[in-house]
Amino acid sequence: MNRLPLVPTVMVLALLLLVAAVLSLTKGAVQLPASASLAAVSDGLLSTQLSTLAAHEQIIVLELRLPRLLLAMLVGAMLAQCGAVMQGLFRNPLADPGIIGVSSGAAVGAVLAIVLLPAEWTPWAVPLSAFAAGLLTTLLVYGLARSASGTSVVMLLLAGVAVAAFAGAAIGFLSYFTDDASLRELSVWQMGSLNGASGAQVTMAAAGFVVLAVWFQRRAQALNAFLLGEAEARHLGIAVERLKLELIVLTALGVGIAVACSGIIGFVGLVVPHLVRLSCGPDHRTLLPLCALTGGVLLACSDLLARTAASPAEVPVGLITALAGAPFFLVLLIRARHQWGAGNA
Amino acid sequence: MRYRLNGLMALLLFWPMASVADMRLVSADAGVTATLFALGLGDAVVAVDVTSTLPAKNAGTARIGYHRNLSAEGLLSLAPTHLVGSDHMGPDSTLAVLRRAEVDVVQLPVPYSVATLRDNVARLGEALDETARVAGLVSEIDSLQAQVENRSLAGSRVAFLLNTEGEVRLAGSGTAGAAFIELLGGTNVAEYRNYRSVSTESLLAYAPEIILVAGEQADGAEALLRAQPLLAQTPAGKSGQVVSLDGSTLVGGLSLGALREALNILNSLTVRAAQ
Repeated sequence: MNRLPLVPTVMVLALLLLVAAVLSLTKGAVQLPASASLAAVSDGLLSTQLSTLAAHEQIIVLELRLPRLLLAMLVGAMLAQCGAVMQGLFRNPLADPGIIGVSSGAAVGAVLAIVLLPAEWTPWAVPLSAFAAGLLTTLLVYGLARSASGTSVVMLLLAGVAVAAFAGAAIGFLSYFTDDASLRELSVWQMGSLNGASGAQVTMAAAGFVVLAVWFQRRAQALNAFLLGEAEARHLGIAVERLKLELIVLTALGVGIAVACSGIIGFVGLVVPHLVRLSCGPDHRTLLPLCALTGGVLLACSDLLARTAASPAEVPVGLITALAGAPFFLVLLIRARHQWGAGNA
Repeated sequence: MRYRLNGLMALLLFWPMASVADMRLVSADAGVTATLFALGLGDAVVAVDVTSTLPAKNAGTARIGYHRNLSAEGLLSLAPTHLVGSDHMGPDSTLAVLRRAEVDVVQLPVPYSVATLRDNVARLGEALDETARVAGLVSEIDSLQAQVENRSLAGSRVAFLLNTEGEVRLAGSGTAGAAFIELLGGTNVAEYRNYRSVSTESLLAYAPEIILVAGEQADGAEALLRAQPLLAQTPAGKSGQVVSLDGSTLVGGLSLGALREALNILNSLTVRAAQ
């Protein structure tokens, strides 16, 4: 398959991100003049006095649209990077926070926090609990898949399936015995939504994203070496076990934050890295930043659809990413089938 | 404080009841929607949640989706003066934004008793400055309650079944079903909380004297007996006291419709007992 040149690709993606951002800030259920909306953002961020919007209209732009847009971009970027790193780490195209059970584990953690802890604790207990449970799940799955001869991909996937099934049952069980109010909280949360994005969530997601992006980038060369195989990476002077543990903790952190902010949003972590790898090649030094960009664009666009398609109601954004992501992924698979088939033979 | 969208238009046109004409109400609860229409404020309702049922002539009213996942911007686009719903509506961030945009956000407890229902109607009247309209509705509720209490089931064992798409669930305590049984003066056979799926065998073991079947179809009771013929062996089945009721009157707890339904059921049971 022909690879796209790097610089124009980055420019196109950046342009798409800009368009998605402008559309997200200017479109919504409430009709506001586009230029005045953008001026309001400048007013809010740079303390200028350009906007002609009334106070309550500025709230719409600055406190509803802007945090949602930022959260969508950050969560999308984080999920895509975590997916890329997991696929590199496990040397498996199916490794995705959703497929090997990390999202499910994090979801169980979050659900436990919603059901068992008092409602006042929810804002900080949910992310912490999601992170802890996500980390435990990843370590469990990884521990099961590891053996003297390296990481078994089959074991990894089977353990992931088992963990996901167990997590599904645990969530079902908890929702069966919980009270009505927690149940309602759960049902919305499980669909995945960026509705009600707050400044605190954006701050948390931004901090998480910066830490992850910088750290992952520093490990990009090592991940490239991993593609050759663990033994080969060890011979190249990489502390394999330490690196694996480090990256597993980081991806669990990323997925935990994403799950806590927005519920379960599927397919971003699986589709985006594949898309980038198929079009720009598997070098992690370029793959990781491109994944962040593409993930951000994808989730920002999906959320724009989620909040405008059925207005004044909301569509869960997880439905849109799955609806758009799955067929797209199938097309990619069909196009790449011959190439992969040859590689495996 | 009210945020007026069309202050100028209101001045230009003649309105006999200026306050009603100015109101733009959004209801996020089926019970609240029913109350607003019963108060004659239906024309001021600009949007309702997904569970609300509307009279045919208002069928085009906008829908705001699920009351736990309200979209702040979506609601603001309707330029409402009031958002009325239950304690469960949210998320809180949406409600906070609406309050700051000077929308009156009224949250009422889910009415699991007639007393709460009456309080809710009164609170709604105060919040909307419509206390005069409320008096009529309250006296209607009082009179219905008196009639229902007159025909009380006096402690009979009642099972409340929710039949949704073939799944039968039995109402435990803390549910609208249990509240309805209490309204009828019966005793709930189930002793757990919330709704649970139950087998036919456990239903037989509960030995209910009356079975209420809430569902979408009008012939819910007959359909259930066809699907699970063994229920005919319960005391309720033997005495022909398996009754259908309109589940939509109980979506947001007790409602005026639920009171009427209760009276209908009690009347029909009296007739059946006499046969």
